[in-house]
Amino acid sequence: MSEAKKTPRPLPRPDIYMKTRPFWDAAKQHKLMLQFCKDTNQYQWFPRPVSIYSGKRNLEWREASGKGTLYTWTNTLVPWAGHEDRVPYICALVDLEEGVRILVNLVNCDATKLSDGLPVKLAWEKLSEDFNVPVFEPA
Amino acid sequence: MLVLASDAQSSYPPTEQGAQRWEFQYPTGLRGPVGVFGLLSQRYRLQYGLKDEALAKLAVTQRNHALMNPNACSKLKTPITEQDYLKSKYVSEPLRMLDSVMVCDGANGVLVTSTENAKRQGLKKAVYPTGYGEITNFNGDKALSDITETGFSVAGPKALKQAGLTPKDIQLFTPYDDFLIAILIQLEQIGFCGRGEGADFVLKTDMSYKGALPLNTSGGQISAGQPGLAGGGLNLVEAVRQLFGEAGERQVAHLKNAMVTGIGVIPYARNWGVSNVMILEN
Repeated sequence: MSEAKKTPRPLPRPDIYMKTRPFWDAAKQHKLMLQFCKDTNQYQWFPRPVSIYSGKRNLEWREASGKGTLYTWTNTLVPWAGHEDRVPYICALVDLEEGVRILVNLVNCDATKLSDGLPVKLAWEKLSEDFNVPVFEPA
Repeated sequence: MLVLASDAQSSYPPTEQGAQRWEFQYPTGLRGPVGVFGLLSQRYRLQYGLKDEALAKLAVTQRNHALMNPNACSKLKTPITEQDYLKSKYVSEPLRMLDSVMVCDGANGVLVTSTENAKRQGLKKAVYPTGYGEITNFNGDKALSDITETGFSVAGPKALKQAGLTPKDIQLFTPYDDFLIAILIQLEQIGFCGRGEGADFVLKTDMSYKGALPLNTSGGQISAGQPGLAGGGLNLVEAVRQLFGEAGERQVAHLKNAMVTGIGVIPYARNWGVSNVMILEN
């Protein structure tokens, strides 16, 4: 008797809608890279082919400090396919000090003790040999 | 012109959307509207507080309407109480199962034509769109925005102004309802009440088909079922049916107008991307 095939946790798919390889290469070194718009001197997240501020391609990758504050969160009790083993897990929007908002998992914390504006800092979770993903934890 | 919407989600695997989602969303486990509305509900709660009893009242009001709708999904045609809502399990806190739509297969359609042609074809009933507002990519050029704010703050007043009406004049409200929190936010941002006052408005207003502001008299998508990408048409068809006087036992008496809304697109770390409001009169 064969068991039902389990959906694996999804791995990122780089370089599909734009060249994101620099981000994932840096992630291997535990560096969080953001796009910076050189025309308007502002950061943006997630990566896009053009600046959301100017519509132009004058962008470069810059390393983020890894410091931020908690904007909102949800404690996931019914998982999506591929995440069954992780329940419960917290998905959160974190405002980075560079002025962008990033969707991440919050780790090493109690979902009932979170608060608006809680200072958080960057950590990393290794998903595979090729992929580290940024996660955050209370600072 | 015959405008049809149909979707049979049960016959194909869940749709996957592209771009950044596979890379920067799905690995976190935030996959789909439920997680996003969990984040939105939590932010709303931080800013304004979230009154469970108001959400419970919305859930029960719409379910009571679905019980009178022969087209509602049979699976959903069981009465619920406010206690049932409060006890329903959390899916993505603070979002409960009974906050959420249940998907189903389904279809709907309307016939759109000129008054002259309608007369020529011998059609006896018609409703007229008298106000419309739509905003796309709301706050799309901002990296940090208040995710409780939506394009309804623009689209709502625009539609009302065009129709020459105020929120108090609206006799039937059939908003797009994928989650109950979306109804609260629309009531506030279209202008039925102020920011953060949606729950109090709901608690003091009879929103049944006999009430001061009847809400989604079909049961809405949440209690009649959401036929996938055809879901948005359900609330439109209910408004038309009510204005035609063909809503059977849930018919709103002496109805002159209705407000229909639509919501579309869930962008990364923002509120929904499209908000639209239409006012229909007979």
